[in-house]
Amino acid sequence: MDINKFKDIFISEVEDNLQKINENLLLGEKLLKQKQAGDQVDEKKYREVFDSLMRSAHTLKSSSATMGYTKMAFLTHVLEDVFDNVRNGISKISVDTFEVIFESVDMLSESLRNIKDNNIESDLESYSLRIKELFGTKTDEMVKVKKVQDIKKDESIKKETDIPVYKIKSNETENISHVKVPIKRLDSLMDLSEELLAEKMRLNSILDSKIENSSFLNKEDILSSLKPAVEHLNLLISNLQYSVMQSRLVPAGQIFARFPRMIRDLANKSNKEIDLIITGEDIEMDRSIIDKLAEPLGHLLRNAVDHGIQEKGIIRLEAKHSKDHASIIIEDNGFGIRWKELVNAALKREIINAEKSNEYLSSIEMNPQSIWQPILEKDLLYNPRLSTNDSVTETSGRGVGTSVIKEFVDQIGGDIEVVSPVNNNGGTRFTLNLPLTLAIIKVLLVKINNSTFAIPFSSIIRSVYIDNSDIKSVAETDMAVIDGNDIPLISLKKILSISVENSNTQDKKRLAVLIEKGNETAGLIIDKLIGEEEIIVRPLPSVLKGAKGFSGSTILGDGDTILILDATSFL
Amino acid sequence: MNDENIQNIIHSVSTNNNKNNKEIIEQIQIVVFELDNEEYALKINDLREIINIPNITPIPNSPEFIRGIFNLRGKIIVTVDLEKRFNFSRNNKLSPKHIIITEVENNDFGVVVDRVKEVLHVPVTNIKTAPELISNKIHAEYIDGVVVLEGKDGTSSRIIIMLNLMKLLSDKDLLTLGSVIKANN
Repeated sequence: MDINKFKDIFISEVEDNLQKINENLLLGEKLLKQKQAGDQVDEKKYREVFDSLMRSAHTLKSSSATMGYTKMAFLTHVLEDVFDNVRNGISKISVDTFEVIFESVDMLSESLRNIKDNNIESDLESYSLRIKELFGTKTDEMVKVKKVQDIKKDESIKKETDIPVYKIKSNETENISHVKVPIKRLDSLMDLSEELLAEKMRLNSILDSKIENSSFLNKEDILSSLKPAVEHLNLLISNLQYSVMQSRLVPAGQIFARFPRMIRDLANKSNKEIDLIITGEDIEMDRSIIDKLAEPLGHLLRNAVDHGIQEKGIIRLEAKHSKDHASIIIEDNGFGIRWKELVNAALKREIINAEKSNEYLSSIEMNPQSIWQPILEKDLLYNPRLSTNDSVTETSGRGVGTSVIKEFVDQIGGDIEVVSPVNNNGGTRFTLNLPLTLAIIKVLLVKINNSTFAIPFSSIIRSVYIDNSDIKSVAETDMAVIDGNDIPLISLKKILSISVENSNTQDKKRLAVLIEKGNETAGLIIDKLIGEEEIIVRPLPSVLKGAKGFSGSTILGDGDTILILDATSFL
Repeated sequence: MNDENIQNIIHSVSTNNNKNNKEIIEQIQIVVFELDNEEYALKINDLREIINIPNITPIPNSPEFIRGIFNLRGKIIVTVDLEKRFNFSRNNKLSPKHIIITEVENNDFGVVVDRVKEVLHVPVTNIKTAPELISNKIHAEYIDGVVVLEGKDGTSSRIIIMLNLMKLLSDKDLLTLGSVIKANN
């Protein structure tokens, strides 16, 4: 039997269980601390934590032994015994020894990564024995291991494990490779495909009967019998599309789960007391977004720990659904962004000039509750030159990576809001507004000459007819008065170098699509409106990235490929 | 060209070679196509499929040698015009018929050709270095060599230029060329 076939399942199982162990360890540690502080602690709950820990360790032990990873199996066996002893009161566990257990979980993750990448497990033997000794468990050695004396000599290991390691684990950026799809969703996909098959048979039978029965060969007849079938197909296909989308959704909790441990480690390292409150773990988002979210969220949370919170504080991580997008909120009740210092740092590094800096400083002065200052942020907060330099960030109060976050949000077409201070006591709140899915957008299909283009609805205000008499030429730019405003007109034919075959300047009216970006508005002159459509965006092949003015391409129902205009790039 | 003819060529080629060399000679399969009455070839492993020219959507503001894009079973294919790429002037009045589909560095490409003629087995020893005359016309690094085929009687010979499609369509080369052309405009 080829055991490698099960490697993927094994890896995903171990990942799940390690996550569970991490969660329970955090809970256990919290309860223990409360206990030591003399607080009333629910003993039953405390015991339950260790019950669950033991179960997870047991599962890990069996599956790694099955896969032949004996070192992992031994370490998890030791852990299982430790948890068992603790819950039965045989062994004592302290905050310090908790640390060792945390480390062992990290080593198991490390080993798992090794298995994933190189197909070999890490050497955990001496480490396992150390824990065994520390807790005095009587775990049977599954494999021949070094004698205890040898271990004692092995000071390097002891030293290493004595000092807690707080590096940010690389699993923070690991992608989600498996999606757990509820059976219900798979069932609905199955149902849909069965219905599609039935519909296909129906179409076939219509076709057959028409060919056999030539008296039937009446155009109207054929159309009328085809119409319901096609309509039903339309419905089925959009349902199918929806279901596939649904099965790509994963709960935000899948990436949130890694943060409590990270915050705990960071807080310990900097001697801060930080509570992380997570809500909305069950909000579902597209897998591709969730995947990319891990890194920027990690940055924001680290910033909150490093620069936001002074000694003791609360960080709130929340996911929620709004009308057509999902929001992720990261809020701390720390010091808040020190805007003034940010401005000064930018001035020192000659990112802005003195005039600008004075302007900024006075605007901060005037509005201390400075809520959402786009220019300030664009120039300073997200400026990679400002945020990648450590010495500057120390003084600026905001750390590495705000530019990374901005980049990520732009990339997936979302936006980011910053409120700081949140209230009179300070605090910083980042709100990331993210689209629910990346792939599908609504567009307006237009014709310019004989070519069809798509303009995303997100940038369109409306379309208007403009009388030629309303168009004036100002400095080589055509301007039109629409609703009392002067609006520049952009000739797409000129921009896209489309040769004009049959000039329609004789027409009394011209058709324009009004687009906007920020406060700017412009009218794109087109020949004809075709209609609106929901399309799947496909990125342009890399060789075409140089072609300005397009954000992607899509395939229409008739199989033709068309280009999506990046309307705002014309502004 | 029918199968018998092809077999004859292969036969003649292999017997020719066997005179000098008794060892088994490695053969490769090449796809021969025509571009403005000249014969070119590609290694069969370098291409994925051959299709008739579909409806191609031109890309405004892109280099001239990019014909446009089209949809092949849900994939977007960038179509390259080799004649424009090498600045050939075209004499053939007939328009091209086929597109050769290939994948280079995870991008799908279509290459417009007049028509695909045949698939040949040729011994590797028949692939010679390209004469200077040809490598002047097409940059030498895009040519793998020329295939020289002789008829049975040793008179009627064919010379087929072997193109290196992978090199020709590599991201780096296309992108730099694209920017040069743009700058010239």
